[in-house]
Amino acid sequence: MFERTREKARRAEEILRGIQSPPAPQNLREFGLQRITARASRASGEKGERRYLRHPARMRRVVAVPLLALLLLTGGTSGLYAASANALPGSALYGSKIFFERARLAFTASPSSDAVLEMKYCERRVEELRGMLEPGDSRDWERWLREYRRNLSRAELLLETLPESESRDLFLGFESTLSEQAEFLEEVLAGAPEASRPILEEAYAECHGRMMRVRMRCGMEGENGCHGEGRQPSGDEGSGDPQRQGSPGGGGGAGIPYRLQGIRVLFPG
Amino acid sequence: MESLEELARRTADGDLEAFGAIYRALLDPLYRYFFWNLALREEAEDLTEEVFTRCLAHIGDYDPRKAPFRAWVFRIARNMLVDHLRKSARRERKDAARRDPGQPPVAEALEEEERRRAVREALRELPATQRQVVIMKYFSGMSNVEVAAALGKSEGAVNAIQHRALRKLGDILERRGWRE
Repeated sequence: MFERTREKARRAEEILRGIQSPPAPQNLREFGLQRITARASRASGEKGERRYLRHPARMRRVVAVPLLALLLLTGGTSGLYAASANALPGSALYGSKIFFERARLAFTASPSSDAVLEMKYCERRVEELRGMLEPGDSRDWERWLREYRRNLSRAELLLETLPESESRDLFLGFESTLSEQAEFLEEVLAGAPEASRPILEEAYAECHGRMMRVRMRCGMEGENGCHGEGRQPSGDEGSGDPQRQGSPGGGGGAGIPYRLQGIRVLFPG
Repeated sequence: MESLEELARRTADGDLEAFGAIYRALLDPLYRYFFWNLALREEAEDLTEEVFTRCLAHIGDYDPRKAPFRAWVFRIARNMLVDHLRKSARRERKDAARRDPGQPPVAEALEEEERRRAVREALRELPATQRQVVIMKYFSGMSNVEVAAALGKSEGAVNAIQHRALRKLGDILERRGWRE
């Protein structure tokens, strides 16, 4: 009797292990994360400011704002701010420059402004590269790459959290920035000194990889993206799903030259 | 590979890439949990997404000293399932006709769908806790420690429930004339 019960239990276990459990559907796999982050972002905005108390990242922001204000009040700080503006990785003032950049993010009013600022910082990193390639003191290439990656990653993630209506133009601007930077990095790589080459290769791969991802997300395909003939509408366009209508070809910027939809117009310089 | 607990900490710090990794790691287990507990696939999809949304909103509250992250997520999932079943209890009869429409009539897919339906119906005859243990363990790939933490029970208790569940499931399947 006992043996029989055990045998039945064993068979039941075999059946459970043998049955094919379906994986999550493609819809969830591809677009679920975007919907969730967008929804969470909207919900946190609606629930009021006190929610920052439960989120360490927001908490840091709350601490950073008064702290920075206090620092700015002291005369020396403003001098430091000005002096560090042109600092390059490897110099003593570079840490201060990055600090001021991050602190400035604490003053922005919305995630979209955060994203715009991060994109601007990406451009600043590339500007630094011009200075770093000139002969001079020792340069901290690793630090440069770390900061560049951080700016790229944060910019993209912030854009992902924005509602589709807000993020479309910003994604276009981001793609444009990435495209120019990839081009510039490619040029630089051709004549770069041996020591900096692996870092520049990594930077190029990072930039190019993100550019392709952003293009796919926006429904652009091919190396030419939206600048050339390679741009094509995505297969998802017109699918009826609002989450799938992120393509610039979806009609949002009809009649406006692509470049004018980008970040450079929104935030020149 | 980074642990789920580490990814949760990074997500709480505002790193959405870390949340992406959590999403990819837990999407299938969570979907399967709801798939085997509910009759409609659409409901399983909605609840899976809802669990991740809630998880992201409350991730700052997660304390790794209290439970493994997977268990914490499945506790949210279980609470949502209970709420959902309570709310939909009244609609149950109306929905019966719409239940599990199955795959297109391709012989193999149909057969597999039939097997799933039979197992799901057998699972429905199990007491709630036994059903949860079986689904979490065999379909969501959780360890006994994680199941125990998710259900608020000791590991020994989960072992015992699992054995009772398998014996009962064996009886049910035999009664229903299950053929492998």
